[in-house]
Amino acid sequence: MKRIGPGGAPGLSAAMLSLALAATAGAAPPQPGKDGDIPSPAAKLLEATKNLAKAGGYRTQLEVQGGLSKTPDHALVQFAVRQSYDGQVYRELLHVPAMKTFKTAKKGVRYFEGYWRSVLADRDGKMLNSFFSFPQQVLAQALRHAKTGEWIDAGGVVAPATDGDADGDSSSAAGENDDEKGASGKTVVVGEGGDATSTDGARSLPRVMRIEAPTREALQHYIAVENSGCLGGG
Amino acid sequence: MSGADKTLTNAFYEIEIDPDTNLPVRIKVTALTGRRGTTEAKGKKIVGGEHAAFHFEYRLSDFGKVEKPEVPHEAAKVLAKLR
Repeated sequence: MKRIGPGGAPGLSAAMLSLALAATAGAAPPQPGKDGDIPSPAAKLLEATKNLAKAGGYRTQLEVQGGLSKTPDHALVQFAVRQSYDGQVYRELLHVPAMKTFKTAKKGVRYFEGYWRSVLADRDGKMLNSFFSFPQQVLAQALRHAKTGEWIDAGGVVAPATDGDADGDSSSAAGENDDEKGASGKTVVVGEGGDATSTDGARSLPRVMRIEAPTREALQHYIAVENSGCLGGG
Repeated sequence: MSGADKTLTNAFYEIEIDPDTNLPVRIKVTALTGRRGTTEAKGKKIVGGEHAAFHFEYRLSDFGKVEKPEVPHEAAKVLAKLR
């Protein structure tokens, strides 16, 4: 069985990431957006992906929520899964201390019942393995479709405030409210037309982009969820 | 989650990049699957009705501050044996 995580990519290596970066660089060369001073989402994502690779180690928290939705914003009304993980990524190794798990892109081990075993040996480990992809892997996958990217906190397109937030938490994107704190802690005011300006008058760059994935990849995500066993039949 | 329509699937990424550091601080993957007879769609895009939705939201922090974890010897041995 070919395992595909939320990132959709079957595995991660420096070579693979390099290939993804090279392919994207070829397909969508970094260019400024129409506005001139606003970079294109593709260019910004490429830069961010490279910077993340250079960072070496970082902390990542993953929230997984899945189930039944009945609304256009895809908020959940019935949960099949609600999981959160706190991990530390160091290059190509993921450590999830609370679950005593070490994981690479292709395999992982978990300590339970007194032994180190394959992460696939029990249900919780299997779910972690299915759900928790390396963020750089997810970004590499997103990069493949970066040409469909658009800023959702600048200009014409504005994300619904609760898009995908199952519990109504609307803290996701800067620029959703008229006056709010950005992630940097700086107060950001969104003016008419979606231009974000800080209180000192300096214009802020957009920070949240949305990238559509093709149907085929969406199906791979569904299969990954199905294989995790969280739906009861995996 | 029964009655999944695997011909009607959508997925999208929402990525937040800190403009000061040019590092990704939030990555959200949303994957949607329709249900036969109950999902509303415009073309191939799910716009309402009953459908399965999965949200994977990563928050990234402490860049460059995480050091190489110490993998216990037994764990490393098992990991090396796995295919």
